Amino acid sequence: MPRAVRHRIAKDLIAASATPLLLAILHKGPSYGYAIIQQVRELSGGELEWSEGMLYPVLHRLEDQGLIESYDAVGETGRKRKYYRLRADGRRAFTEERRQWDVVSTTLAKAWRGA
Amino acid sequence: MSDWDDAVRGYRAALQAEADLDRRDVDEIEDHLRSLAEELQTAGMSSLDAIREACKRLGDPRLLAREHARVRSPFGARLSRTRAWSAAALCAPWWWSFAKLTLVEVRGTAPGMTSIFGINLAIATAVMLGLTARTTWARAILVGALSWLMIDRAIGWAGAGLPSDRLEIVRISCLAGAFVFVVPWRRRELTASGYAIALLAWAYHGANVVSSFQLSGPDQLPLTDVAGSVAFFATLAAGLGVLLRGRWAAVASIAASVALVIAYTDLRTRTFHTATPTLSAILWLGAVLTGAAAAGIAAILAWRTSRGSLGTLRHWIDAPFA
Repeated sequence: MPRAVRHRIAKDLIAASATPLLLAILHKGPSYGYAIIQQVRELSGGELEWSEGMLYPVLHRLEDQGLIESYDAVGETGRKRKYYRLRADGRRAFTEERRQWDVVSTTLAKAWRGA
Repeated sequence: MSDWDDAVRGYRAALQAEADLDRRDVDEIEDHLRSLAEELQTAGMSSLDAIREACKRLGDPRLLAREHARVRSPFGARLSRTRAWSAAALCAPWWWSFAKLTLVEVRGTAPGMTSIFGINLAIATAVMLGLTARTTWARAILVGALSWLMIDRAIGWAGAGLPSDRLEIVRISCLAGAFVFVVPWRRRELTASGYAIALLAWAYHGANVVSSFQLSGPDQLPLTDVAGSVAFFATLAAGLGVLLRGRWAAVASIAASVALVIAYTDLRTRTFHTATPTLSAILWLGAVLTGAAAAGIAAILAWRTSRGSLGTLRHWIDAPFA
């Protein structure tokens, strides 16, 4: 009998959820790369393992799209750090992403009921 | 601590060797590297193991740099198709009339005039093609060129009234529309190199103004003759240098700036024999003086964004498509 193996979360899923997750985290307040990675790990109970470096291209894409913006501030370490915060377009995108993901997750939940 | 610094420097160098990353972006990754290594060290790792593990977790710098380069284009955010093609369509009437002017009316008049118009038509055509292909350098050139043109025409028309050629009003209004599409509404929509190119496009207008004096006939202006030619070719060279990220771009920009200042000090003593001399003086001297300032700032930006004295081979190959 095949044993049920718990795999890591598929790459596609991680990639697809990156934007809504970043928007959600920044919706709570400005943050910087390293703290965002830690928050993702915490929120997912360690299940969502982001490749650390790849966070930055995603952040910069969102910045180029005008959803978020960056500014420099001195962090608790005393080093200058690049922080990100949502722009108005980003807040709109956050609301829309949230609506779409809600639809997906409720649909899945209903489909799985009794399965 | 030197092991740390060596490792961090090595990682930075590997990132920068692979792609052309903004200094701020590399600083950001370095900060991440250090924060992660500090955390690992607090968790009990030796300092060398901690920094090695941090580099490993951040991932292969070459992959990271390539992914970065895909997202961030060298001169600024890539325009969306709608914005780029709308802007190109709105520039087309002006380009067409300029091409006709150059090829039909100007050709064969005077060698200097023909070459300057020819060079300008070549640049305008390259920018049109570049804009259609959504290259970021074309956008940067347009930002500088159109902002100068908008201000120039606004002052000119306010001072001397609208031109009798109604089509000219339509063409310039179309360019104003194109300007709205290419202008960087957000601060970081253009990179430092992008702003350098935009400023040089502005300075190039100033150089054109000066150059046009040496072509305008018997009223000899010996000083601006030299200064005009130097400014003209130096801004062209500087623009090319910024595209290729060579340090010589900064040298050429300074040469252009100095030449424009010399031309300004010469021109301001002259009387302009036009229907509206005061307005001409404001527009022309303004173009030359602001051009000198623009070239000066471009020199600083060009120096700071340069990669090597000649530029890198990769930039020579990549520049047209950037």
